[in-house]
Amino acid sequence: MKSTANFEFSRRTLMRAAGSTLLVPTFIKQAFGQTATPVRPNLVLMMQTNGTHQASFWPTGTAWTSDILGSLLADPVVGPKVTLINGVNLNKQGSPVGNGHDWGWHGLYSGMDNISMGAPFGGGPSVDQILIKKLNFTQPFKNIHCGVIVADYRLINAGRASFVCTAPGLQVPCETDLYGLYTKVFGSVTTATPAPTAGATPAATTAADAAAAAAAKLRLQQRQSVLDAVAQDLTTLEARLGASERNKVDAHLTAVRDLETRLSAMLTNSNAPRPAGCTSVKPSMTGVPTTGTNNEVSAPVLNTLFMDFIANAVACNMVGVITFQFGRGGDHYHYDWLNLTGMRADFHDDIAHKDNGSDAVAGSVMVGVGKYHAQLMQYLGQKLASFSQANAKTALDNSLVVWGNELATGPHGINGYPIAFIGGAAGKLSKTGYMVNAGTQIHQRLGCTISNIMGDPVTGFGWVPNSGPFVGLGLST
Amino acid sequence: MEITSRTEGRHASGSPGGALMMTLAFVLLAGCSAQVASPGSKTGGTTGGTTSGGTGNSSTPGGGSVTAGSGQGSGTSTSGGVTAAGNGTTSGNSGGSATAGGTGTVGAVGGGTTGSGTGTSGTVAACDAIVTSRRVRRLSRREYSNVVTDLLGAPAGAAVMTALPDDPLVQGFDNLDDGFSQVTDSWQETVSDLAATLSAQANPTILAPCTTAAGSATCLQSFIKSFAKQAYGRPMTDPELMRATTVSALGQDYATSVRLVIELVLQSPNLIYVSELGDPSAPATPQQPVPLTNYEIASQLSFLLSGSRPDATLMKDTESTGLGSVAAIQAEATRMLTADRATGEMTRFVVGWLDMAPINTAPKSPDVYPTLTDAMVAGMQQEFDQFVSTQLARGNGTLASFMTGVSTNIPASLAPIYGSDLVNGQLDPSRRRGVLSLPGVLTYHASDVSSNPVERGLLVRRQLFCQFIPPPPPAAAMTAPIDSTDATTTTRQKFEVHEQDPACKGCHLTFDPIGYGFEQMDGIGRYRTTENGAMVDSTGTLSNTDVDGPFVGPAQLSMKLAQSQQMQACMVNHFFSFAQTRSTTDSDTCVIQTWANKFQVAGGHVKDLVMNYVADPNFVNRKDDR
Repeated sequence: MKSTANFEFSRRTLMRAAGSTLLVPTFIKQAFGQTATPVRPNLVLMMQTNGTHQASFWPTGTAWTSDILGSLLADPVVGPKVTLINGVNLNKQGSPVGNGHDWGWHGLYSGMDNISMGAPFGGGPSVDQILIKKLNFTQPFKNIHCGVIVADYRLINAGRASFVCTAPGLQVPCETDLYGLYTKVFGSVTTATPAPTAGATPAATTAADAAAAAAAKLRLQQRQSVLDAVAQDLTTLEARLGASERNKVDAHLTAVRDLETRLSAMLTNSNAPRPAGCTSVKPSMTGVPTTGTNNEVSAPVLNTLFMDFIANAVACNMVGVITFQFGRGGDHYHYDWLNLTGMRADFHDDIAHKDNGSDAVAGSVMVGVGKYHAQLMQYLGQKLASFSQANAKTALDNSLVVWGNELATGPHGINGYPIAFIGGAAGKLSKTGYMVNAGTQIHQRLGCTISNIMGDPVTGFGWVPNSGPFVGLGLST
Repeated sequence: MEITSRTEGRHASGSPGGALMMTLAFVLLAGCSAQVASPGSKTGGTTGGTTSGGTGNSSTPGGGSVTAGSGQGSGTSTSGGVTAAGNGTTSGNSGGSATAGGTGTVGAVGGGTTGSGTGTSGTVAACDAIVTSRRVRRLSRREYSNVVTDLLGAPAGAAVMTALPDDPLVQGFDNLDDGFSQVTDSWQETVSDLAATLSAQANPTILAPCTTAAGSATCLQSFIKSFAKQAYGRPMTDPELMRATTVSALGQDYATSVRLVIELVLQSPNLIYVSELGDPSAPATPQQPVPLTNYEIASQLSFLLSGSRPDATLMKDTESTGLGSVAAIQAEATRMLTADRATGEMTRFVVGWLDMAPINTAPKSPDVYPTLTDAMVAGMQQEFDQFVSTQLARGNGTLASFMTGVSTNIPASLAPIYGSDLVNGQLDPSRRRGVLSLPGVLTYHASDVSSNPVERGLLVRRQLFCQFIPPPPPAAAMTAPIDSTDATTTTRQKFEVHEQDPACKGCHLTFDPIGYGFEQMDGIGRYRTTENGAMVDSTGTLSNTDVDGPFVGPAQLSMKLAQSQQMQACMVNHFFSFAQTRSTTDSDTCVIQTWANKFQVAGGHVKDLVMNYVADPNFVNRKDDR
């Protein structure tokens, strides 16, 4: 984690998407807006680590509350948009290497057993990567995979660096530079000018504005030309390759073409409106420490800021699917900032692994950590709810946030994964604000459910071709 | 109990090379109760709790005479009611006289106790087979940064390291082809933004000087050709030149045209990928060797020894005298081995081989080690780097000297660590010998609160002997009864409870006794005779190797390791992945064994390992994948 000093975005930095050093005129600032009623939810996949304290996670009886989820479920805006999925068990195909951390980290969203490449790596593409290939996402970025990784434990297992894979063994690196992500995703939609009303005539421009606009337009054309030459280089290269090698270059070529498309949108999509709030995406970096980045001092601030980023990115229709990880697989956060009574030297080893029912202190700390994550989800939900989108719904209504965990319980438990859907999923969920409690369900149903909600009518997922979606979960067709 | 996170992580990770290890006589310790075959008595089908299958002996290829036979082996194992079976064959197409039997490849890992299999005589496997297919390999972030540094200067290279995300480490290396994901939207966006930013910051006056103040078409063409050649490691093709020229024509002035060319080149696949495709005009020859072009060979050499594209000398030599002979390639390698960058690359190899990372990334509890300072950790890193350079990287060192040499470049900040080990600036060789005695290695391979014999034992088993240790049962990490905070016992006493627990001892007896031999060194590499008021017992035992026996302390262990042919072969196995930039597979066995034999014959000189590699047909050929 690099230093987070000087987080004020400079105007120059924000211009990069349009051309490094040139001013960006108003019409480019207004690009990338949300143009239509979303028919597909905004999708966010979250991955927490080290399981939960089962007895305190699930509501019991008819009460819509629990020790861990109390604040989230009681939230008047977010709580009714939460759907809990109880009874989800890991369904391994064989005997993958590693332990429950690896199995869930790599398997929850892929439905596949992890494979061994020295260390356990993902055994197949995660659902987000499947969807961005199969479905036509129109957002400027199909996918951003990001996370907060600041625990002062070194990477102990290369496979646990990322839970997102494009294919067996092929990780999508986790981006941790929030500053860079804002610049990348929002570099063209900066802050100064309020978004105009849809269809309104742009304000009159000065001669200087016109010159700047012309220069910026030329710069974008130059970038497009450069990318077109890159694409031609790739096409030439691809023609020389055998089948297996062709895939990697083909993916590269697709990424270049997508970027060309984004640049084209800058030139043509001049007056699209954005939801309220999307005109001010500049984050406040207040409170981000400038030192101690190899420990957890930064974690609480960064976690919150990443929730802001995620909400902005999906609500402003900039990213098709966002995946986010709280640390690495099997992470060793200390959660010192929570000041939990009974916390020991290492949360992973000394708390989560000991939460076996006979260690009351470990259980208590697990609940405390669980509450923190639940409150982060609540915060994300609130942020999403603050955006009104073009269909008169909030971004929370139009989103599907999946809150998953690599483990069901701290001691490597793989039965009863704590899974929550947050958001209305653009109406694809016929009901929210309840817990699905239909007995045990194989975890492949999670990927199948997400796929169905997003518009991919698969009947199974991972290595189970006929898993179906979650039983007991009402989906609107 | 505190097995520590990293132990738990290591439990989860296998040995580098996977199945290949076993065919190199680095036999699986599945079930952790097996006896390990000694080198040369290779057995086939080694799945199961004990080595099994394969009644024939593999021949030993060496010195270029190809004599391996193919065979079949099979093994079965039973573990917990689950039967796993493995079958494998290794075959080749030519070679010398075949011997009966051969090496079976390895079946699925079982955790059982028995296995069986038979080997059959077969045709001969050729050790001159080409084992890597035609491919393009994306540069790692580090390699890309190096190339950009060469093109635009160190600040530009640093910007690359800042902007791009980490590449996944596979088997300790950041550039193995099979560890790379496909290029994503986000990655491309970052590279494109980088190219735009760095080109905007570039100084055309310096990069593309022209006698005409406003520049000229001639100057621009000259710049395009030279800049791209350095970036791609070869001259541009005519279509590439045409495209670049077209792009440059969009510039409002000469400087902008130059910058547009830079922007293009920095994100061209011709820079981003290393080409291993051979002559574009040559027809496909399925499954046959495809000779790499001279330019491709030059890039292979330069990425191996400098982590970047060819320097001016290599490029000049490539174009003037060519790299068509082994002697020419070796001459370049010899020159490059003397450069600092080669030392850096060799250090990178060692770091991957020893499963390390920057030493300052090893967590240490300030409560347990309150006197440990950043300066000490920096000193550890400095000493480690110096040791690798002195003993191994410069090409004069041997594996034996790497394992037994005494550190002489000791930063002052390490005085508190070495304490009484240092007498008049010299280390006591009875305590400190070889890389395993360095405080940096001992600090890295320890937990945050203790020395951790498990961690150190696994280092020897997995990284130095390439022996596969299966992961623990999933519940092991929660149930192991070790309390790291117990201040009444020594670390060894804490860990010896493994021997009392039937669920633990099967595996732990294979590596804990090795780790115990390090106990005279604490978690930050300080020598000690007592711990928590009790005498430290630093007696260790090596088993299931070709240098079995007791030892006391890392110095004695290192003396034994220096005699081990198994360890030599294991190091060569790691070198294969490092050099070929991919994970090993069963089909690489014969080639690696050949390299290992040559390495041994050469006296374990690392320089000779490099020289033999660049002389190998696998360095200059690829298998046709079309």
